[in-house]
Amino acid sequence: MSSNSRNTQLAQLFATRHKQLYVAALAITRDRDAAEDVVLDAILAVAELPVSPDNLLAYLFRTVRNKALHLSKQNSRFNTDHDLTGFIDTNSQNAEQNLFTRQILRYLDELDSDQQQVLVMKLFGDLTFDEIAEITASNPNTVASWYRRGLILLKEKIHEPAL
Amino acid sequence: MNQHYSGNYPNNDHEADEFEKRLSSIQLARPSEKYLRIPEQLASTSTAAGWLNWRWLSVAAAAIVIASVAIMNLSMVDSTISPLEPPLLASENRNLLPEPSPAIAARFIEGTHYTVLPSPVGFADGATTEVSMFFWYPCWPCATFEEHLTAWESELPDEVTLTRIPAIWSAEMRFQAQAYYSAQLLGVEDETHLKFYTAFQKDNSTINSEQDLQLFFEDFGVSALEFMRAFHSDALQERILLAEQSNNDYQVQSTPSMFVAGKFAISPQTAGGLEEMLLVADYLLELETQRVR
Repeated sequence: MSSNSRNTQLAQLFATRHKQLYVAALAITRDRDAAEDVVLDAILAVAELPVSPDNLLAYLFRTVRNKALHLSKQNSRFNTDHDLTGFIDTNSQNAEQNLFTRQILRYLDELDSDQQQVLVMKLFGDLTFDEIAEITASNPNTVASWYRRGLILLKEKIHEPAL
Repeated sequence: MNQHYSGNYPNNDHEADEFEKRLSSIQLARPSEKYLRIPEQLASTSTAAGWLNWRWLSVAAAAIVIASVAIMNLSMVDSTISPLEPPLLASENRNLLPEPSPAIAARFIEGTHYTVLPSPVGFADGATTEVSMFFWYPCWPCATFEEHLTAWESELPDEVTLTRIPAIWSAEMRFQAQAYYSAQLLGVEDETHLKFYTAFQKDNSTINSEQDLQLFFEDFGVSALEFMRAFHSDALQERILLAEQSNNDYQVQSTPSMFVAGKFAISPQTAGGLEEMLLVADYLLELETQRVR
């Protein structure tokens, strides 16, 4: 595949998958600007590969996740005071909701990293299990089990009363 | 006898739905306007990328020319050697496994002692026959089977490879798979594999966290730093992803499970027991050897 045709294919993938790419990065970086930088870096890195990968989309998702993981480890973005701005749309929430969200994020950090990311992508990012499975190169059933187990653990931690 | 697992679901679906709804009201920060203009930045790098590609093409062309010259020189030295002919095997290497006796051939029946996969699962090295064995540390039949498997593995010919793959259907199983692959990366797989069966006993596990695992590895001379590097490495993540892909490709649903040549599935139920699995595997390997010949 020529460079130009790969760039065209990448542009088409971005047009149809920009939400997945963004949410995949944000679930790890927890910062909007960092997530956008990660997606841009990943697309440019894949564009410059000497040989095209067999599955361009899967490779792109994997590159996004690896760059996000690398960046988050470098910058220690999992801050203890759980700053919401840049991660959560605080404009759509009142003070009580912000408090609840901070509590949720605190307990989320105690879960396995797969459960954390799947919960963020599914609950906050509105992605489907199939979309998340594509991002993580996993079986949708595996993703579903991470999600359900993570939800149970989150609920136990927050002691949500019966509604 | 086999360990068949299903996911852990909330008992009260109504409560889970209400809790989920409350969490779903939390929305992620929207991307900025510049994010959606990423394709413009991609287009502006096309010209630069084109020049880079020419450089790679010229390197590839030079490599082809050098290889062609080398092959021509080799041909001139000994005209009886064709560069396309594989090296001859020693005659004794062709006898990979003993001929199945009529008694064994009659005992193992497709659909009864083993099943044929609807779609063959490919593997990288076409020169060897691969046997994949899926296990789970808390599975006691797997622990029992491991003793027979280790002895069987030591008798395998060079052309047969046995690959152990952890079953991964949940976050708990993924953590145990991380333990297995950490041991591989740290070079202590042989020392720790059987010990993990004891440590990860169902309902009595002594390894329940990353810290527990780090302390476990300390007993085998692995420092905390070495463990952290291995446990959080890209290499481990890649092995986990490949294992998950294998779980998906083979549609593994119980442990222990064996798959021969990417085509045949064997379980204790089909074979009639743990040791019998290996007898069926021997038979299937011989079938494959005869097919290749």
